[in-house]
Amino acid sequence: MRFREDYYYIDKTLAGDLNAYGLLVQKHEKVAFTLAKRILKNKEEAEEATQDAFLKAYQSLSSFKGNSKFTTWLYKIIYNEALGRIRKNKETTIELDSVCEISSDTTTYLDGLRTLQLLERRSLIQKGLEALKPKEAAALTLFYLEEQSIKEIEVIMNLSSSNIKILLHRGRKSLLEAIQQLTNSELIHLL
Amino acid sequence: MKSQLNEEDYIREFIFELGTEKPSINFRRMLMKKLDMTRSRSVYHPVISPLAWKLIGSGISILVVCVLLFIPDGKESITLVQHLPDFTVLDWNIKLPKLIFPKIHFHTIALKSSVGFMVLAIIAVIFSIKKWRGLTIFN
Repeated sequence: MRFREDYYYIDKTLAGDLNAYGLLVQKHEKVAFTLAKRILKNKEEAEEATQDAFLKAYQSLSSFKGNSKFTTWLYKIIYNEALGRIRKNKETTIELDSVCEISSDTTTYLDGLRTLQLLERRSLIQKGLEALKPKEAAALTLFYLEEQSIKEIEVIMNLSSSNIKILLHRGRKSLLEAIQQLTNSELIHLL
Repeated sequence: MKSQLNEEDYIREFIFELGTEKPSINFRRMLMKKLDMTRSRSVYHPVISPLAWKLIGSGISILVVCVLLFIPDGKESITLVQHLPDFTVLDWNIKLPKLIFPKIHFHTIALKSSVGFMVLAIIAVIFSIKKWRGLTIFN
């Protein structure tokens, strides 16, 4: 399905057309859900958080002035909703401090990872992302998947650009560490 | 086989390759249901409409003005209207039934509150008219 520009649906929604909002949800639900899931690490909770975020976005849609992209505004709501839930649940995230030392030649390792079957590789990356800290996972998802600029991520996460860069750097390292830990030593030797 | 890609390129490629995840089939239906519920709950219909309140306010204001102008304060005093110079527009000989109103003695606080209420009601009416005009322009 080809979607129109966000502003088309926003205007229609503000005029009272709920179906237009349904289409806006349909347009962004996958990325919104992915972002929530990468932060919360739980499908059911991510769905609830995404729904609540869309609900909040609907209720305050009239306050959206269009100074930023709609997605930036929406992702900020999702990010805050997901973090709020983490604070409420006080869930313990997997700490990566204890993860074994990363091998020095990461590009060789990543080259090897590339030779894996697509499904295996995806599963591995997925697990690696699940092992990340919520903020690192959010930063990586926004920067690499959604290709949001550092400026936009600054707005979404309410952090300075240097903090975002640190988060991205740490996120990359943590992801590599997690993947390396996940792959067994036999695979590493094979590469 | 050594690749030219650096660490960041790999991460970008892998995350992009992983793509997005789909929520469950019922996700949107549940959300729309929640939205519908919120919408029906948030629409508040007051028993007395704002227009009715403004009319009531205006009525009370007019009443207060009439009371101040037409009803004398004491036995010896005369109404404000009687202060006006006498003039006759037409000498009609119409006999109207004589209405006798009871004398109402307002306390100073009551009078002050009524005047305050009247001022607020007038302000509300002015702002409402401005708002309606604004809406008409946009529509």
